[in-house]
Amino acid sequence: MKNDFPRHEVRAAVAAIHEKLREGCSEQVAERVCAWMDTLSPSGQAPDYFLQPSMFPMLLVPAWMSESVDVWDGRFQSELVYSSVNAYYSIRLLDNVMDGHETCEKELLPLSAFFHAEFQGVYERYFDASHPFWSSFRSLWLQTADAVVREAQLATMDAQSFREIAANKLSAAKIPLIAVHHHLGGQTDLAQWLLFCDELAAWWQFLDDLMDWYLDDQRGACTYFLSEAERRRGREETRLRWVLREGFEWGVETLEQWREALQRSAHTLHSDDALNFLDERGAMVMQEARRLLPGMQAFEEVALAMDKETLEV
Amino acid sequence: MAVTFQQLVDHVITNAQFRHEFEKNPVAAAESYGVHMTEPLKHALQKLDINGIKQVAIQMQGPAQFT
Repeated sequence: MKNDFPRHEVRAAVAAIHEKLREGCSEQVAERVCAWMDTLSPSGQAPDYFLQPSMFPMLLVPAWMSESVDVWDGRFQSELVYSSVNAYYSIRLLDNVMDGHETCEKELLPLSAFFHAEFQGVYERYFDASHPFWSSFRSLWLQTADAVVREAQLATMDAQSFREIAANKLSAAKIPLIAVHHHLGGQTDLAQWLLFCDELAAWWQFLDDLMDWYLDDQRGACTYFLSEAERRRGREETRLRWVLREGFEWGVETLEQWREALQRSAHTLHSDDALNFLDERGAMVMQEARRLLPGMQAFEEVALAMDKETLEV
Repeated sequence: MAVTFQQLVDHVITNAQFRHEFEKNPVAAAESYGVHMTEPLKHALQKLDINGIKQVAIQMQGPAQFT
């Protein structure tokens, strides 16, 4: 695996999507979709979105899996990147509408069919209709949809429902792992890699919940972190006060425990790439925690001072 | 009507102009928002870790930098 994987592959994938849209759609629609893809990225360049350290490593795990048995098929991995980038856009169009984050997604929703066809089309070139890959594909794709719908209906989430939903919400990320396993003739430890992907999904989702807790709280979202805030806060304590007092630190400690479990799994899978990734991400989380904790403590000191007297406008 | 800590924090996070004022002079900004200034609160605000508050406010208003 090249050091900068999947930088080149992502750029090629986005360029190919642009080209197909411009070939098959009216100029107006193609430009709107390409512009939407760009707007998702903080840099304004669509490929950069997939290269952010914060991104769930859906493009990397299939490469780690392949490398764990010392096989590297660059062309196949490049096609998996193309497929997964399309899968991401297909899901993101729907998610933004569901979450009420949409800007122009509602008008672009029919293009979800294009992204889905491109996502699936890659696998059709490698596996014929009777191949066992397809039963896994259908099962995982349906699990993803099921988890998203279930999550939207939840009012609270415990550790078990979080594990089920967080892991299953990212089930589609396991489709390229199934593909790698079959493409390499079944020589990878598929069950262990799927389990690792589930654990990684839970870790990543909890990190997302922890870092986005305030915005999630503002929009009334149900997350595991906010559900724990509700369970653990004092009777008169607000969720904000619990986060400042102990919740953020509890979240960071929980993440670290889960990351250590992931490291043990990565050892079992003989994946140095996964271990390096976990080391880097763990260091980033701790750096972020060190950056934020003094401010949390400062806010808490203000809160304690305000507690001392009822304040009037 | 009592100004709660939650309201003060929400205002710091969602109102960029107020946050700027709060970072420059937290006591004056809090008073201008209508917070009744007690001695313990004034003392806490005067020794406030402004940079820490700024880091948390930026992180809370999102979109999250890390995730």
